[in-house]
Amino acid sequence: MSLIMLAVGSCMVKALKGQTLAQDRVLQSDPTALEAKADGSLEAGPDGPFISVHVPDAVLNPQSTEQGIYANGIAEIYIETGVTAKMWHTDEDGKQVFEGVGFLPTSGNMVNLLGLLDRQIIDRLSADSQWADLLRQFFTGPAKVTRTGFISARGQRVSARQLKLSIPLVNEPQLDDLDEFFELRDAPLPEGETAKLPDVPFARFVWLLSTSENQQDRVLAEQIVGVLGGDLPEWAGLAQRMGFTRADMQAIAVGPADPDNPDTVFPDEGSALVESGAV
Amino acid sequence: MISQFDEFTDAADAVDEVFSEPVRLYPKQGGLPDPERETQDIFAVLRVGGAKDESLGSSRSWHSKIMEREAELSFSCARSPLPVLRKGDIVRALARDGRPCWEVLAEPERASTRLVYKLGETS
Repeated sequence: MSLIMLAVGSCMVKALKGQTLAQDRVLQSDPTALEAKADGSLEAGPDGPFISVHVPDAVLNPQSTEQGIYANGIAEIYIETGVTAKMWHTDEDGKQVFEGVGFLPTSGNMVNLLGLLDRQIIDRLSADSQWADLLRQFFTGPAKVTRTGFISARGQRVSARQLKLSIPLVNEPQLDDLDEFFELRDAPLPEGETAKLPDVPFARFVWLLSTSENQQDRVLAEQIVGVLGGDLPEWAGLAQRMGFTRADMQAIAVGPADPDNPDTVFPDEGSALVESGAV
Repeated sequence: MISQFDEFTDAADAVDEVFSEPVRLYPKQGGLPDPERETQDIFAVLRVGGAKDESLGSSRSWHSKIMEREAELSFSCARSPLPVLRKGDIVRALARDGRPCWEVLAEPERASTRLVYKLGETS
């Protein structure tokens, strides 16, 4: 999973949390969405319909014009939703109640509930909210959308749906994508003023994480900055981003004339290519 | 009853006597209380299997899993009056911690000695 895939998963979870019938039961890459204790006596895990977001795969086609392996290509995003008969609670009179919704525990209702949830999900992901807007900025093209349903009654009645989005993503961020983040971080605003959010999507993502109330978000922000924050000279950063070999760099006369001796320069340093901004 | 089944019936009764526990049956119809049948408490054998990690979905492209355990409720056919359970009825284990509930997923074939109902988890 790349940084952009990580960002897509996080933004999606945050855009959905508390905004649908699934309430706070929005999980990121949790394979045991539904769980119960081994003695069968107590329920555990989600006590109502849940959403589980997975962003496991992305494929970069070889005919892509992108240089290097910092391109993400097309990602597969899976949004799985589920509801089980366990989510209805039987009171002492035998009345079965489902939180907040007057649905009786019929299989038809379970399927219909997921239909409502599906619509809420696409509404929330398309909404003009902070996280949904950011999420969409990591997409570079239209999505292929596939919906699949599943019902079963092995140890309990279960109804589940999968919404799969195959969608092209932006390339991986580089350190300079975080410039706006560093500006905000290093020059705190006077008390009472709210910072203008960074324009660069990835900088905004890291800024929002770093100012989140969730401690784990702040740890994640720190770690992302740590991963991106190598102290490379500009030419080495360029070579890395473009996937250039030493020979490539020599051919365009960028960087030191002898890569092992960073102080050496090409006779005509500042080649026409560099000056014209072509690289 | 044909005499050759007598000893099986005796065995079924003996099993019930040792392994039974109190359960409450809530008759249901389409998710609502069935007006034609009353809630009743009986003794029956409630067996709950170990948890199995089942994949959700029909193909490998699904990522969520579900923990499932099969459960059965059974009692001897010789019991009188014979309790009648239908699909969708709720069964509550009165003597277990948390008094957990199951729903009847399938009604049994009419067996000669024991009625075995397949249960699904609910709460």
